Amino acid sequence: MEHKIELEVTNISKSFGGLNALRNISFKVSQGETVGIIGPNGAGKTTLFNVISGFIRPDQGEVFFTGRKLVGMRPDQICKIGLVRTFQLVQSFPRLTALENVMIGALSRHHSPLLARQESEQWLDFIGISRKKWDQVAKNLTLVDKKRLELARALAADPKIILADEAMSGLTPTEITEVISTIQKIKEKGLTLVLIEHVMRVIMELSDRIIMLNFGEKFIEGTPSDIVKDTGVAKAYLGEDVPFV
Amino acid sequence: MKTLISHKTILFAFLIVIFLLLPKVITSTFYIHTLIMIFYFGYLASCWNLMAGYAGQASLGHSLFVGTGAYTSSFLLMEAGLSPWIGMWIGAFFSLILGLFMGYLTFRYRLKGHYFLLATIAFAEIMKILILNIRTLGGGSGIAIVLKGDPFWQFMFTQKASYYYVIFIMVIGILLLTHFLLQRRAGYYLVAIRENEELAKASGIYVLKYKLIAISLSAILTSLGGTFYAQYICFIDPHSTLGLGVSVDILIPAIVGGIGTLFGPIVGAFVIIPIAEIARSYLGGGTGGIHLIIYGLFLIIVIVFMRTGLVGLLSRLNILKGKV
Repeated sequence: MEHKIELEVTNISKSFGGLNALRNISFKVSQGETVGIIGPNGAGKTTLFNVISGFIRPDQGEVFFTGRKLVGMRPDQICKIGLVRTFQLVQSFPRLTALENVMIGALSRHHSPLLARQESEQWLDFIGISRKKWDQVAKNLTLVDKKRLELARALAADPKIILADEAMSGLTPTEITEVISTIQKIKEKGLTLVLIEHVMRVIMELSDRIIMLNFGEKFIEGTPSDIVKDTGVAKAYLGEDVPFV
Repeated sequence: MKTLISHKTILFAFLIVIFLLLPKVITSTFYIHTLIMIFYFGYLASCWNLMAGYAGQASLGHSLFVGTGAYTSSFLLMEAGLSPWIGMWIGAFFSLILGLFMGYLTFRYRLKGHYFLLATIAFAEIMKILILNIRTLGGGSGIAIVLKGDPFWQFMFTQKASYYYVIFIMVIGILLLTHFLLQRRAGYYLVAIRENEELAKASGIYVLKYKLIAISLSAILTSLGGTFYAQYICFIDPHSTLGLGVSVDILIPAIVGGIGTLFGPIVGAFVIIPIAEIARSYLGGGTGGIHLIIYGLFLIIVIVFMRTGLVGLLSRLNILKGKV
């Protein structure tokens, strides 16, 4: 089954001073697909997200999203055409309530705060933040709720694709299971997802395809089972031959 | 929720009536003057709060807009006989241009926090030095505003109470404007930028545009306050309108009352201005700055014990429920 290409990254390079953070990265993401991006610390995963979402301009290369060039567009413009990201270190509007946090996302499409509020309530329900927490300021929420809040805010902007940067980091195994099922619900809505993840269980369960970066280059690309079989992956992570997963 | 809002509206309306009747009861010009100063600094602090408290762009150069408003209307009045009621809007227009210029340069090149603060001081100081050296504008000796024609048309009143009503209406105006702005998308966006600029960008907010909206509104409104000051005091010079001291006086009521709260700057002005005025009138003459010491001590107490301002303290003590 041939899917429409939604996101296409071609030959992206970016260096900071002498460090090549990204070298000639190319890949495609089809509509409705979930792609996992893995790689050791410093491999360039977050830089890649920053380039795609307009926070960093690459030295060379292009990013196409539903046929439009993203390089040169501002982050807010990219958000408005349907590509939304979350952050590695969980981000919120700390002194706004949970509901208001989600409203900020919804307001990118609604002029009226009233409409944005109604819709945000639905997203909070969908994402599973209990109603008694809606009026709590974001800084008082637990880590897992902050992570959920980021996803709710992203969803409220009505994206076609979400780039989630380590949605699971710092969570307990039980919480991870809960968030995995939330992300599965998002997948079922037909959204395209690109996930940066260190927790292998998550990447294996959720991804249709995995791309591994190492030292700023694309190291390997394949299905989860391909990746598990590849001994090079474990080497890149751990520096020696050890059984993976 | 509905009843809460109507309770607040009733309280607000009640306070308006009280303040409208106040000059009928208080006949002492000293108290009326103090009230005028309370509302004047409360008004300016509210203008500052719009940009610093809500949008998170703290400025220490708001005297730039006070001075621009005061000088534009006063010059046009004394040289061309133009009514300050019109001149104040021309001043506001100049302040808008200056605000956009300052805002674009600083925001575009991402000056934040302390660096933005320093840049705003620089802009105000540049204007002060410019005016000091322009003879047509009176240089260091300033402009005296003298009656030339019809008093009302010239924004001049024999009764202090009239000035009181003008500034009181201006205060009501800024409070309503801030209140309604906060209920609109732009208001949410300003607060979002204050809370987390990077996340605001990622959430579809064109941060530069909304920061410029904040500085524009603040500049225009502050400038109108400048004209009021010129017409009330009838004398302006670079020090009293463009000095760093003016910028500091603008932000103190907001800090005392509560930055980023609707009524904070006004509440703050009600606390701090009487202390300043009373200390000055009773201790100012001959005692070599004791009034400044008392004023300073009070500020220290506020900063140490009430980090979120009086309004913040009251809401923590649950005296004022919910958001103010």
